[in-house]
Amino acid sequence: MSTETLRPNAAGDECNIPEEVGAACPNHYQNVDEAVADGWTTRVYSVADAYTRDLYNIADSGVGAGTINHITVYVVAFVNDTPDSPSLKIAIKSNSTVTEDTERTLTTTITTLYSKQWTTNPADSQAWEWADINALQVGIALHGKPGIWSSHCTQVYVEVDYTAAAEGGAQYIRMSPFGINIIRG
Amino acid sequence: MPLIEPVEQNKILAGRKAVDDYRASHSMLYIGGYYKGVSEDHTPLLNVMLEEFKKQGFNSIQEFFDASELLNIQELGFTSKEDFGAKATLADRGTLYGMWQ
Repeated sequence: MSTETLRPNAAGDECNIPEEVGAACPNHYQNVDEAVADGWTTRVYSVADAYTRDLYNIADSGVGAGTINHITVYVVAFVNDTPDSPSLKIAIKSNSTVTEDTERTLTTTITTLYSKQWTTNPADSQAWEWADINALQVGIALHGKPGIWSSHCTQVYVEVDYTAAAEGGAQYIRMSPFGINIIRG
Repeated sequence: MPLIEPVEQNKILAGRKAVDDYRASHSMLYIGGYYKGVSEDHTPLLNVMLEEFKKQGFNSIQEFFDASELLNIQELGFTSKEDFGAKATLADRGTLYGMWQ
């Protein structure tokens, strides 16, 4: 099995998280697309006491063939002070369906990675297809408590776990006077 | 918790400049729009910032921002984050919210 990492590369359908350090809406994706999480330096965040959500388009797959086993969305998020309630939900949008994971309670550690795996596409309960991946949007919903604590997200990406087309198939080696041929079964 | 000495304040101010420089460089990455590899191009910029943090005695982003927040809190007249948590009014919190972060 192999994995491909895809990061936000454009605004998605929603840019509702009210605050940011870095690019403003609709370009919040620029605050969460770095390969190495940059913590407090660029981020989106919320002090609002109700969930607000951002969605980000991701780069198209460079693989595009083989069987997708599952996808996992990863998020680096934190709070500025001890929260009294959960304040993060990982989200995806596939076709026109937005699916949110359960709530997570964040900590003040700025490097903690939260993740959610989807084995099938929740939009149709079928196995993931590469076209689904290319159309996928990933995101987060955050909330805080005005004047008390705030929730922050600095990095979002998705990993596609797949089995390459040739993996798992039988291979035959044929020797001939003209060389060696590998034939995939 | 003792108040931050002027020499320590200077280290925090140098760290803040490194962060501001990173943020400016970060926004320049997108001046021509998204391109493949932009996510990885953050890393050398981040390393410059982290090098400056190390020079100033901060071993991580977390360590620097903790110190920076403490400086903000002490500038508001509180001795520590715990003191702020116990005594700060909503107005104090609003003021902190508007300070360098």
